[in-house]
Amino acid sequence: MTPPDGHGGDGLVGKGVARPNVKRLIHGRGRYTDDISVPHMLHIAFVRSPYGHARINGIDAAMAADAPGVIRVVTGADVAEICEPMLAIAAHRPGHKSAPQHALAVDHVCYQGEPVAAVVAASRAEAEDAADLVMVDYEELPAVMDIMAALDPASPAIHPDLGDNQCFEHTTVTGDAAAALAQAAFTVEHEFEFGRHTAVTLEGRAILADWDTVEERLTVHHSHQSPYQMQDVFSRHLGIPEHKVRVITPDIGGGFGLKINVHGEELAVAAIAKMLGKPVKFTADRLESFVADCQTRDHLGTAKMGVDENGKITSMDFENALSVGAYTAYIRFGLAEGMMAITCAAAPYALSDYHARTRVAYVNKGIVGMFRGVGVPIGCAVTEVLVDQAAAKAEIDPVEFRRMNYHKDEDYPLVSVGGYAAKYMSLHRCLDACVDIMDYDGLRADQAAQRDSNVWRGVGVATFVEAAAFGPVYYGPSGARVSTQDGCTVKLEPSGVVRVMTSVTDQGQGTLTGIAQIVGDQLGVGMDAIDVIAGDSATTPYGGGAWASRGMAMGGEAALQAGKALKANILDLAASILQTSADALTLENGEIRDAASGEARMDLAELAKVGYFRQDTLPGGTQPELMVTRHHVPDTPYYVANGVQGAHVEVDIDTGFIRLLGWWVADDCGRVVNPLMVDEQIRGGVIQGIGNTLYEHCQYDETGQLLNATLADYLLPMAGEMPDIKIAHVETPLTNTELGANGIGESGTIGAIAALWCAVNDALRPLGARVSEVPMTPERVLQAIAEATAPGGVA
Amino acid sequence: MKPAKFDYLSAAAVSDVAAELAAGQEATHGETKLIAGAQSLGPMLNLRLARPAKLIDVSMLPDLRTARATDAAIEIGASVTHAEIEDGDIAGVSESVIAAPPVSWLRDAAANIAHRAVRNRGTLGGSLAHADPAADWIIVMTGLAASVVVDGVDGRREITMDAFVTGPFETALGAGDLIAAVRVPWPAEGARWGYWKFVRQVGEFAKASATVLSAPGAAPPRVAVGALGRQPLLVEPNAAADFVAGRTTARAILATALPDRPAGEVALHAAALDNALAKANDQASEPSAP
Repeated sequence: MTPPDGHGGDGLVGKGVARPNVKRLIHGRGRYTDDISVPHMLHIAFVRSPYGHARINGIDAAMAADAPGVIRVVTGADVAEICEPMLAIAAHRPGHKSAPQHALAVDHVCYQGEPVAAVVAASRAEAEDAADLVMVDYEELPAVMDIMAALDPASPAIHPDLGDNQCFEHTTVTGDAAAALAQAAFTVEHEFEFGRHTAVTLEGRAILADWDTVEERLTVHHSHQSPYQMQDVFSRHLGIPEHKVRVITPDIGGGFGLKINVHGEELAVAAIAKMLGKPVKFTADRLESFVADCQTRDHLGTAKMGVDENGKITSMDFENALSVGAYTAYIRFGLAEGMMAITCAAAPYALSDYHARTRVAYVNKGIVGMFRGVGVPIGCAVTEVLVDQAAAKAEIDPVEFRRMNYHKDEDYPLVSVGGYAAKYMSLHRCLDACVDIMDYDGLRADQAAQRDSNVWRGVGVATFVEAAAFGPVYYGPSGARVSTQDGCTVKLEPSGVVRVMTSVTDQGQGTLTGIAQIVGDQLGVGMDAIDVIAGDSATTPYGGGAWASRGMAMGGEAALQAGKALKANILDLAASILQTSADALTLENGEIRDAASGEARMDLAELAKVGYFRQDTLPGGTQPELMVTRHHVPDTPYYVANGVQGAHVEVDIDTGFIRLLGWWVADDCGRVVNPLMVDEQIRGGVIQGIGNTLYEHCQYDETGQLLNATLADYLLPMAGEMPDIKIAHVETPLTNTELGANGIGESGTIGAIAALWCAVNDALRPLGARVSEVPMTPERVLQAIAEATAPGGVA
Repeated sequence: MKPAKFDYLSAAAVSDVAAELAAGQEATHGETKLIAGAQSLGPMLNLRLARPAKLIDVSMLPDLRTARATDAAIEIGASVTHAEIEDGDIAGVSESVIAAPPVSWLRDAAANIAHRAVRNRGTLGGSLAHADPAADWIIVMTGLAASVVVDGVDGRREITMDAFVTGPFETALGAGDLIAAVRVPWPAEGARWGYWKFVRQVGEFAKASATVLSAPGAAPPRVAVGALGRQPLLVEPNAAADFVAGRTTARAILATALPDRPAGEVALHAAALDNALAKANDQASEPSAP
């Protein structure tokens, strides 16, 4: 099937329009940050801490400074002279503790790979050669690696000024969970460990910073999700007036949330450009990406669920602890992973009593930052695994058990026990749709039949919620300079074609294609008449960029409103030209038509010609306004998307090998602007979730060494092992906006971990075994089976 | 991830290699290393885990790029790539040799080494010299009772596989030694072969691997276990015979041979052995090459 090219104006929204930029990218004509070179450009290699935790007693850079090609060796102390350290303390969360983080470490390193000094040289190879020659006198300090050990106040404080290693603690109480659990007909309990992993973007982090010594202007090309955020950061930390900082984000090869964080090296690169008055470039190689990219997850948990004699879930207790590494990821606070986990847990279910606590620990590992799903996959997996366990104990089919326990459609709007505010969730419709496309009953029949021949198959059905497009209600009180609005400018060009400037950015999702479709429909023009510009803090409207699945939900609404406003201006101008009223005209297929008869009166090119070149023909005082900007700010803390995923697996109980047999997703992301892009988001997200569950794991030893910092040792999900992923759409247009689109970027990942975990436990249930750690390595699966089947085991 | 500086020589003849290796031994400024497909050494150079002063590229040496069949064995040049073995595109031997064991077995093994991109460059000799415990060729060649033909300063010698791999990433190769070829003996009439490795993904290093070579009525079966983080384990002949005959289990053999390993790990290796035996038993008896 050839996707429509969108030519023709019978409506672009809802069509699987192919991304106009894909051809350029696959032809190798992409322009990523590392592709950009400017005259006199220098390269940076960082000297990084080989220790998990150490004091720096001195740095001797003399030999390195004399090495071939080296221009300067810059230490943490040098950068600190012109660059404020990063420190974010959440104003709305009393008790939150955070330590200042220097762009490059000064005196003290807290994780292996932390940048300590920068070697600036004529080539990257020369910079790397010289980085070897920088002699750093380290005094190793005891490393705190274990989450629970770190939360013990007796553990040595990584940041002595903070007193201990607890960053944050929060307890959510709704009703009386202890009493409800005590009164329950039965309870189920499960332990959880979510391993730490990392984003592994195809394009590593990259930045090219140039300081104009005459105009005192900083221009940065940056592989980043938010040029606006980085303009703000560079301006404030380097003391440069904001209008003299321009951040451009060219083509980007994957973000996944990693590239919304502020990494110390990137701030250092801008500082060094200013220090030297020269353009400097840094591109993270794969080893650096492993040790110094923000990482994610690293949670522990125990959860308990109470069920009454009718099979109704009454109560849940969720004890969560996680590590954020050595610092909280700037400009946010290191709170969201834990808060989202305990807030979103149990969200689909109508229980009454809930108690949850999250505790966040500093450890000597890489920093945990934003990553697809941010804590929600944890809350989702913990809940869904417990729900399956409860259904089994109640001897009720897990799908039926969910249906019994979901919120009812008439109960909305509601706030879940965890505090998750939902105007509506299409839980029942998504469950029906998923069960239908997966042939649930057929899978169950096959499962029973296969067990007779020692084949252990499992079916997992998991419900997920996605809190998308976080707004000012959430971030405003925190004090963080996080822009929770997005904007769009639409300009009619003199020949009747359209330029769109949006604040949302595209790291490969196809967001900009959706923006063009929305504007195209408002103006009645096809994809071939629209060009979208994004990722330039100097020229595009201010906004958030890409985070929290906001591209369509917020950026799309801003585009719709801007397009609509320009359409009104166009019709006003046409009315002046045609001596009629704007109400009597419509704009369709690039033509201004008589609303009543449909007769074409003039085309957009003719109108634009008058608007730009022949104002002399207009009635006196007419001011054509053929460029319009609109912004959108959400009126709720976030928009709520939801869905159901189904996973089908086979577990080889001799090897612990998990084979993926099939995967299904029924998703409700509101109005589907582009089903092709939405399906790609779902599939990509599911695969990333599968990677988290089966393969990906940043393994640190007890001294803080990352043991698997190469792609030979760190496994990623690969095409060969992935199942076919079938998708059904349940479309409930969001009522907060005219467009009605909701978030989609994180849904796949959020639900996949839960669905796969449920499926594996389902396969092992007859053996009395269950897996309590991800990634589910063969060793862990075998260990779970061995423990369950050993004499005195849990079976 | 840029390698430290090194000198690079592309060898045109085996004699060049010997001379350069000898010169490298005398030089004090650093090590001289051989390089062929660079699929292991390349990343190590980029990670600066290896910093040789000089690399001698043996991948294009004509003598190392062909094979020959003798009465006792097939000798495959060290610089033949995994992909060439996979494709049966090996110079110097007839099509009937390529179609029959042990080459047909080697082709199957080669086809599952890492990814095709790695196989296009990686060489048989390079893999053996690197001696990664999880690699395919060291367990396959041990299982097939192969030996390594080495050209050293004192001339040519042959080292059996069980003596060649001395530990993880450790071999019997000395300074000045070059692997010329690998000699794989013709299997006995009616011999069956099974190689099985445990990988969660295509391209992953094996977590467990095993081979079984047996010929009814011939010498005792040969059973080997790999991916142990050390040299392959050659199962003692009586135990191997009992295993192939179904008189003992893989778990029992490994519990005796690897007493210090955790139960979960032993279970994986036992599964590999069982699967290798099942593959050997499933295999229709094929005639051996002339």
